[in-house]
Amino acid sequence: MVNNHQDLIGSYFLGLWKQNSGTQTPPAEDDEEEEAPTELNTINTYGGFLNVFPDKLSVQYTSVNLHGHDVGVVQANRPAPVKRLLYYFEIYVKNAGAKGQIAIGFTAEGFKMRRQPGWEANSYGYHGDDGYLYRGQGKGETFGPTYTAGDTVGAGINYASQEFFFTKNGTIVGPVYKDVKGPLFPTIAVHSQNEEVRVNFGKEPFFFDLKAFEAQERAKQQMMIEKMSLPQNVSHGIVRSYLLHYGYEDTVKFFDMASKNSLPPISLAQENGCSEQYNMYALNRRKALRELIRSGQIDEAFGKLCDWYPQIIQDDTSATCFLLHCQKYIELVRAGMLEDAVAYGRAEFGRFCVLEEYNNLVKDCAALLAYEQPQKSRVGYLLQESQREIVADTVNAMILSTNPNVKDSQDCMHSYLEKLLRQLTACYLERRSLNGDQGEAFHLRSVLDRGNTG
Amino acid sequence: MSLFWIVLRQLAEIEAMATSKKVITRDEWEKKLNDVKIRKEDMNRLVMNFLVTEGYVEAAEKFRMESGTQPDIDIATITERMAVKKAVQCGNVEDAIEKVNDLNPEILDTNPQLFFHLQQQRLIELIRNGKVEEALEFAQEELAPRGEENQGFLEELERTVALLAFDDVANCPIGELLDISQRLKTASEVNAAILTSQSHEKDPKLPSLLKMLIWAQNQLDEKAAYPRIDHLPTATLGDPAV
Repeated sequence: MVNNHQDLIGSYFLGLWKQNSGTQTPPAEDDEEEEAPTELNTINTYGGFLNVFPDKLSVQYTSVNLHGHDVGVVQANRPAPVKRLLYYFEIYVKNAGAKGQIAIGFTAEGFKMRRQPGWEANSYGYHGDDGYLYRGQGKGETFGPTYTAGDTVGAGINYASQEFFFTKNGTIVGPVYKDVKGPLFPTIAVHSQNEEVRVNFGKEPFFFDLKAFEAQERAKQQMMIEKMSLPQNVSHGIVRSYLLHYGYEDTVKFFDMASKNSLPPISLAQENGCSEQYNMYALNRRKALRELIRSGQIDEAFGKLCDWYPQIIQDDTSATCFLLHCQKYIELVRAGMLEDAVAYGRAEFGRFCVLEEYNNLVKDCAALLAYEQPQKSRVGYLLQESQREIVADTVNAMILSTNPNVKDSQDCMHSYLEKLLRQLTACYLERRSLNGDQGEAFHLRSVLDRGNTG
Repeated sequence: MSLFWIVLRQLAEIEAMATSKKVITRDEWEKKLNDVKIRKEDMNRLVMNFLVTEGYVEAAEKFRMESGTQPDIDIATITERMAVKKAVQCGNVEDAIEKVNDLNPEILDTNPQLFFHLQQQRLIELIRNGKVEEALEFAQEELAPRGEENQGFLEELERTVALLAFDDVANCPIGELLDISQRLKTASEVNAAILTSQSHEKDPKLPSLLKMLIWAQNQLDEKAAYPRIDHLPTATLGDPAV
């Protein structure tokens, strides 16, 4: 029984190490990698009707407007990115030409490039000559003001509310519900002689205060969230079980003292009777081991484990032993005792090299010797606190698993707080995925970094 | 798998089909959960933020030592803030006001409502201690002028002074003003104002995140049947809702 727990726990923490060694940003933050439109697409436009300037940011209608199928339409080079709260772009009307039949909006891939956005299905267009919104039929609906030369008009998508919104000279027009799915291309169109329009995909500051609008939308969502009610003192309880889970004994002591003296006094929830006990299991020893590992005293840590929990280090090829031996080696490198490090490595790494999962990690450790300033190298992460933390957390989880009352290894690896945060992240991701992958995900780091400015 | 769980699952699917909700089994959901990586240092920061904002000075200091997490505000300022909060909670409002002004005289200057509430609390304490004459004098000299500037203040003032009219204060309609909860309310207000003046958010982040979880689950409920966490303190995962 104990072995099953240990294996699961061991491979979990090895996984954390691998993650720690990988890319600098956690994989979930791939939102920033989504590419945004930067210029106009000259490949799929009808060259006969318009001219796109060399900078690919301005267009001019060169034909004479004869009928409804000679519109000069241009799409952006990429569809609007979706993994965010909003997307927005603007146009500036340089010349309204003969009839001012300019349009701004969004169209799907494969749009008929000779028709105004909004005149065909799966497209939306806000037209300057009549101020109407067209969303897939030839007939539009009253929507906003007309616009002409000298005006700056913007078009945006709000993924949270699934709406399009437009702006004229900084004021919002709309919004209107978006019932088109799939990638949408920012689109502009010109249709009468000499019309000329310049587009801005964000390289220059926008006329419209997008940041303020974004803050406003976030605040709306925040207000809804604040309305949720929490059971009393639930945060307090979660913090307490976090401290107990990881063995922060002194902190808990003072936390409890202060809680008793606070007004109103916070009593420990009795319903968590059994889980509290499991959390308090071996608290003092776990605290001791964490202290030793965090200060780099690995030999002493091994000693204590030998005395208290020999079963954890019994298997010399287990993940726990691997982590501890590697950490000892790292500490020797840190202290500059390179010869000792080499000797230690020779003695210990041999038996780990044969096992697939340890291979790359051993290589990383060995690589430390290659640099004069290893902390600045690719494997510098090994010298950081986070590495010691992983080892300390592993030992902590292993000790928790020796508790005969433990049923689920998950309880040893993850505190309640972590489980709650995972659930929160997963819910956001699932909701976004069901929403055609549009909208923001939840990032704990952003929440922590946000709002600490003056 | 027992028959019970099979039936439960089928019921979930039927329900989901009726409302065209996606069904996510427990195994599938647990896989998604395991793909989420939360960094230990981020969780430590969250806990430190809680300790510091709620004023657990010594616990925060110990946590810094035991975990290596840096507090996001200077711990020394917490002690001062907690002293003010405690003073109000014990009814020593004059002392609290002095301390706040020592900390930062601008806080009360820029916060007329807070200042009024503190003065109101002083009045309540005078009444509580039976110092009728002093109370009346205080009300007329210090609070009445504020009342003139602000209708809301005036109403509060009248309400407070009315305490003097009742013999059995505990059971009168405005008896709640004498309750300790009134002191706590004022103490909380002062605490928030001090934090804001130090450019720190007045609320810890953890409760907001818990609310976000509740909200996110409610939102997802509209589109999917999946294992929810309904009991926050133990983070127990339920089964996909039937």
